[in-house]
Amino acid sequence: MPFVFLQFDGITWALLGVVLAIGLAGAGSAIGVAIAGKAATGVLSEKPELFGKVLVLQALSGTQGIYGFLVAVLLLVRMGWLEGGLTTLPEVTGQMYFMAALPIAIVGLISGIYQGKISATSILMTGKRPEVSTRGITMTALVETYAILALLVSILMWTQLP
Amino acid sequence: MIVSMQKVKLFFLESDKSEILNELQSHALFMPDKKHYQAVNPSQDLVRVSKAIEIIEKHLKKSNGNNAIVTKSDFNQIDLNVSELASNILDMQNTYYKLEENNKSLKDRYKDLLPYKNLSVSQGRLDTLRFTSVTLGFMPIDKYDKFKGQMDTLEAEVEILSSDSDNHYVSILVDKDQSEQLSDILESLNFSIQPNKPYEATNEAVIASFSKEMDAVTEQMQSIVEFFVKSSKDLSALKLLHDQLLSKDNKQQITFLNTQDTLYVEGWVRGDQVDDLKQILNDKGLAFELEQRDPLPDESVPTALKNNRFVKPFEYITNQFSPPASNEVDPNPSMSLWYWLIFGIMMGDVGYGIVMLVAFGSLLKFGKLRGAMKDLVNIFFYTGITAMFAGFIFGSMFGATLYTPLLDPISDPIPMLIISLILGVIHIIHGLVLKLINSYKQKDMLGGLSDAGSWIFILVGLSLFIVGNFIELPSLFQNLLTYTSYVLMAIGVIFILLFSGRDQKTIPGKITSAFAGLYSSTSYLSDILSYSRILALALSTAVIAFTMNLLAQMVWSSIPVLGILFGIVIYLIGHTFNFVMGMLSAYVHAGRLQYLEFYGKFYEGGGYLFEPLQLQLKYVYQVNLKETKENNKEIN
Repeated sequence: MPFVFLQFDGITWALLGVVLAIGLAGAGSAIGVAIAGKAATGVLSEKPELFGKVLVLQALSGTQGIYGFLVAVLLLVRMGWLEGGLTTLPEVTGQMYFMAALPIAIVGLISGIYQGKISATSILMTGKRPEVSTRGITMTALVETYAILALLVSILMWTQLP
Repeated sequence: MIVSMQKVKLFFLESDKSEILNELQSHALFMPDKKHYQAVNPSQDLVRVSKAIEIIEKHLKKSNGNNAIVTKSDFNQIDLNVSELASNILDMQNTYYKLEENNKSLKDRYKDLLPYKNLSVSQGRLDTLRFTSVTLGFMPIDKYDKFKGQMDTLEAEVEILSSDSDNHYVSILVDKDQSEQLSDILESLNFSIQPNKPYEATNEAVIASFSKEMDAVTEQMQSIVEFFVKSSKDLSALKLLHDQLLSKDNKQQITFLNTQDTLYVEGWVRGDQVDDLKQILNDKGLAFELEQRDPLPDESVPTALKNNRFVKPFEYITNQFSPPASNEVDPNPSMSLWYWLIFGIMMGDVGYGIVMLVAFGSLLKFGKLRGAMKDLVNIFFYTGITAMFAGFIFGSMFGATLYTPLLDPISDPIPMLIISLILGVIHIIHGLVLKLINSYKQKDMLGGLSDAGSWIFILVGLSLFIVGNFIELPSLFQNLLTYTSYVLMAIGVIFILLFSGRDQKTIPGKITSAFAGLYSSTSYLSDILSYSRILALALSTAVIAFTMNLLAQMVWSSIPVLGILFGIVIYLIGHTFNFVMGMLSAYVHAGRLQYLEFYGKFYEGGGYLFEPLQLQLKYVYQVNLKETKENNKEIN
């Protein structure tokens, strides 16, 4: 076998899914929030009174990580990991768990980063014109739509897992 | 509801100017036209008072004197003593800065001199020596032996005056002939020379006088700080003065057109308040002439909104997007209901709903909030109710399942997904109906039918089709529903085909736009699917709450005693986190569904709000128009 993972057993597949869901989506959010944070600290150094508005904008791209966490926990609960005593899982079942994790893992990573970029520009906009910060929030939330759809698909796949 | 406006021309005597301005400002009924405004720099007094407030607040742990409620006559009475107090405070602050600087330079000199305290003669006299010279300075301790040896060869007299952990501070007495040689040696040894200062007294005496002076300065500074702290009892008076001056400046911004004795100003008044305005001016016995007319068709009219207590806070959400134009339907009554509902479902937990009701309710009651903050807290308070009801339907209390719920989005999300999409369809149809009404108001019925009417038919038809084909019904009903749905959808499509190209002149142009009209069905599809976020966010709040419970429970039962403590901590922190993040997501996404999916269908916006000349209150909470202390009328 050329590829190691073709020999994975069910539990490894399922856990790999959990790892990707929380890992990639979390990484996306972390990068996104950091990008927004750079802009935020810049704006705050000039206008500290905007902290509240800027914080909301910065927190927006944190949701992908939460969605990833949510899917990871759902998967762990469904496979009975948290009760302990899980010994085997058929290989096909494990692969299904893995697949259910992929939508939020992939979209979470990418949308988190890009949402962070929009978030950063919205923060700069808020710095210049604080009164339009809500429009910045709306534009930033547009990116998140796709993470929400991915979350939804992950959950729909999850509902039918054995 | 958008209130109709009246354009008003007001003439009055120049001698009544200040009284009329006062009345207009305190009743906030009249919005002067832009052309009457001129830029005015903040007055000196205002700048002084706001600085004084800042100084006093810097010396207080907790600010006070905010949110006073005063009567109108108190507000119009400017207290000169307070204004004097403000200048006193500024003077004191300047003195304080000078003393601080003085203290610092004294301290520097004191520190410089301290190591040479044991020098037995005054430094001033050192320069007057005829045959010998004295050098003061310090050097690292480890080099001292080498230094001492070289000094001995020079036959210099070295005395260690004092030493600290790194350096010896020394005086060197040497014959004047050898002073050049000395300076060469010192340079090679890293010796730092202390420049000689001409103090007349001995160093010991000078140091004593410095420290005495410093004590005096510190005492003065302390007394000034005490004065600041003591002035904090007048902080509320200062804040009142600030708002009085701010309002006064606001009045200064208005310029009038004039003849020799009369003044003239133009502006907007709400249609239902013109009589009030006349009444108020008449009551004061002022001579004036008021001319009113309806707005002209091409005039840009400010938008005044008048809504009930429930809808009013939601105006904030719309105004953040764009204030409505004066000639369209007020979207707020419709939007507020939807926002309220959708926000609640997204939170979807009995416990969180109760927390919202209690927390934001008590903020409203005791917080004396104003402006945007008040609106937002009001919105969150109201949505606490829907959050609670959604929680009852999901059977969820802080993430714990109370009973077998009506709808369980965690174990079976499909019914909830369908409900979300149905809500979406109704929301969109509601938007389209409002579009129809708008088109009717703007006399563009054909456009309304093609863009809105057609889609209402199609969406209703589609819904009936789905009901008829996916729900078990008697076959008669089923057929009836299916055929009705075909008819409705066909009508919709025909509307689009007929009316989309109404502005095109040529036949090919008409055909192209007819099919382009049909193409917008994809955007309707994505709009409806967008409502699946209601399910997604409800799920995410529920599952994270559930996870936090799980974590807390695991810790609870893991270690005896300590585990219980940690369990409680995790439970509290976890739910606080989920509550805050849930509120943020719900605020953002409930708003998005209004802005894009709902407002996208009918709302034009781009208006500007009716902002009458009014009292500028930054610290004072309210100015009562009647001469009582009760809350009889709210400004704003």
